[in-house]
Amino acid sequence: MASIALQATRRSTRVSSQRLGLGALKAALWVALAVVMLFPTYWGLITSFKPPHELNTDPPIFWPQQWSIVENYSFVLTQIPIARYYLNSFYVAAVSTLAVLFTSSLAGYIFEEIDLKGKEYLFMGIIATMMVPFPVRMIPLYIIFRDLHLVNTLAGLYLGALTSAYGIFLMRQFMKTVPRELLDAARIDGAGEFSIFARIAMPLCTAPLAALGIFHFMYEWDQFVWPLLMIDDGDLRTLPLGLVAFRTGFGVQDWHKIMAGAMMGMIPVIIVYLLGQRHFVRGITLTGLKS
Amino acid sequence: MTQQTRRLTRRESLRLAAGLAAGALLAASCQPAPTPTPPPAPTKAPAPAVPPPTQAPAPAAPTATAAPKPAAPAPTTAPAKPAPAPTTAPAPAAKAPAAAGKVRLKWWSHPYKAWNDELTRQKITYEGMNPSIEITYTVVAYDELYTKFTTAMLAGTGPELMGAQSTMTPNLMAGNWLAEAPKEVADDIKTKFFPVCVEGVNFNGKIYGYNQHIGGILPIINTEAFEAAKVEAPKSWADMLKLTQTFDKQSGGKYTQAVGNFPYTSWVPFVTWGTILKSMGGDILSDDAKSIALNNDIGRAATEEYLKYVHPEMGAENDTFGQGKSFVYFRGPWIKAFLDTQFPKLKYKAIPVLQGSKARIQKDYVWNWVISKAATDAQKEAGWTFLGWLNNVANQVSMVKASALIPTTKASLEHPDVANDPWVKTFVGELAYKTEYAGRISNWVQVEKVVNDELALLATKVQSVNDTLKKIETEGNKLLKESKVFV
Repeated sequence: MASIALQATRRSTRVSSQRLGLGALKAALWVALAVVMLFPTYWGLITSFKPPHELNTDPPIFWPQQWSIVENYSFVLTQIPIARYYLNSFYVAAVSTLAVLFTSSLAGYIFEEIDLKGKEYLFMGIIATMMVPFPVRMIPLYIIFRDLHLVNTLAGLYLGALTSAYGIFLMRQFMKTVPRELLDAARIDGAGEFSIFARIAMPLCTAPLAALGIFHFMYEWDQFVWPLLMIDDGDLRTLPLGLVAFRTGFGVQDWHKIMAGAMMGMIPVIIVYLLGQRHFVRGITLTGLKS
Repeated sequence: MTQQTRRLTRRESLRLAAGLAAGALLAASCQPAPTPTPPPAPTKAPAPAVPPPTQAPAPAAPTATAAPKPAAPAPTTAPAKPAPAPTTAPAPAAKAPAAAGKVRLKWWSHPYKAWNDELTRQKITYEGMNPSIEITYTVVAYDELYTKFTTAMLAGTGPELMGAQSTMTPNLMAGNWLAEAPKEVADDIKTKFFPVCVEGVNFNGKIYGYNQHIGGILPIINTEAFEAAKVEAPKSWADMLKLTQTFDKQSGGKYTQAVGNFPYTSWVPFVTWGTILKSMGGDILSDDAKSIALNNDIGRAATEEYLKYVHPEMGAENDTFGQGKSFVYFRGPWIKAFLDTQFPKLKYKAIPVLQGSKARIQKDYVWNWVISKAATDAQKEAGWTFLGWLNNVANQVSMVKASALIPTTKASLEHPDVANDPWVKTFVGELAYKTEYAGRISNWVQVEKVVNDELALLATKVQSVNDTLKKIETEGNKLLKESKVFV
């Protein structure tokens, strides 16, 4: 009896030590992954704090021996109209994100809840647009915008981004999880479809909307090629476009200043993410459930 | 029947207000930004951004070996005749018809602060003297300038004036996007500008733009390191090879110190590798520019020599030179501002072009101002007049002081302020040994990219010299088949 108990204890100890070992291994793996993911940001941040002579050294300097935070950041703040670039970027990203949240959720609702002939083909057609790379559409799109007199306007930056195939896909996935009984009950009570969408479906969609909002805001905030083509005036430049002013064609780059600008450019995205973080994770999980 | 007036609820009022605000915002954002009022033109030329070096470079010593006859006559460094002061250049009254209203010109270039500031100052001065001309100067990142320009030209929204490096110019020519200079402008350019510069805008005997500056890339040496090692600055590529024994240190396949740490990425490898190739008597293209001509013994020897100065494990060439780990590298005069700012203790100077086994030569580029073919006649006329004024002696000399970029007219090169500046003088003195950087083919940008990409793979030991040359030949010949050759 005692030997059985001893064996059980040993087995239990072995299992728990195995679990502990596995747990430690998993933790180490996660930490390693986190380091890999965070290191570029750390390096960018630390580069933005360094003086020029510590930038490109062998061996590399991981912690500045001399700090040039004020010099680097004040240079960025004084050499380019960064407040205007911020405002332009925020305006374009915010208008586009709000529009995408509305159009994607409405389209997602329609595709899921409304019986339309050929809607599946239409949906596939929308999804197929995601496979056409931007450079293919770039010049035709530019010509269309030229004809609409939208070149060199901020509207030209967001009017082409009021809808998102990815957003429609994401919201349709979530709409599948909304209990049909709730919607039917509203229909029985005489509510119109838009009213059902706005008053019942949308309040249930905060998580995927947060996820989509963060994704789309980040995407728009980082846009470079389209603003590069569309914007000529210095006053209308977005932040990524403004930051390239620190790059020259002479093979000389002030990395510490470029990184200071890039770090400042990250701030709004981090704020948006922190604000929607709780919903963001939930939204990603939920929309993946019935994919 | 009584008419009932329905009052808006608070929610409806808010919705209406929000709708109106959104509509107004949308309408406002569709309008281009108002043109900012230009600040008054400064009365004084800006202080030179590039102070003279603390150590005056040694005078360019002629090479002992028989140097080949330069392609173009060397400019005399002594001031030939007094030139006008840089701040008092008169702006010609533009011939643009006043009756037609203001002539508006869009002008695109790339960012380099000292240069942009000076160009903006000159533009404002010109506008002040010619109220019928309005010029909008826009800076586009160098790497994206060509993409933005070609897209805009295809759509008909491009600028009337644009800066184009000599590598881009043949492509723009092939796209039929450039306006030919009127005869009097072309004659003026051919007469007044330095011959190697004019080559950058001369296609099939016609002139398609003004030259703003010439690259003027030279070897730059760390003078302290040479003094400490008690060795002289190299005069030839053979000297460079000997110096590797003095300076290069290798430990476990990792260079820690080297005479030269030449670049292996971006556009610069082409300059250094191309220079070695040319100085050994080789060339990239065949004489008719229809095939690659480097996959031979000279090409191999030149590439192997280039490899001796490429050490990716050392880090970026600007930094290793600045940190005193490498002692010779190739850069243009603009690098002074960077080195002085980033490495204030560094002692350095530019030295003359190195003599090769067959030639004393340096590959280079020219920066051009070109005019769009799509511009109206009035815009073209105003554009050529403005560019002519922009490149007068006073403005070019002023630009040298502000940015250290080497001017392109003979008179500017002979101006005392240019010819006597110790740093600039070395670059100017070596212009006779320059060869124009770009090819005469329409897709030169792509061919050069192939060369640079393959050299990068060679430098990082991904492929051998033979494979590199073979791939350049194969890929290059494919591109050359589609290319248009200009004379």
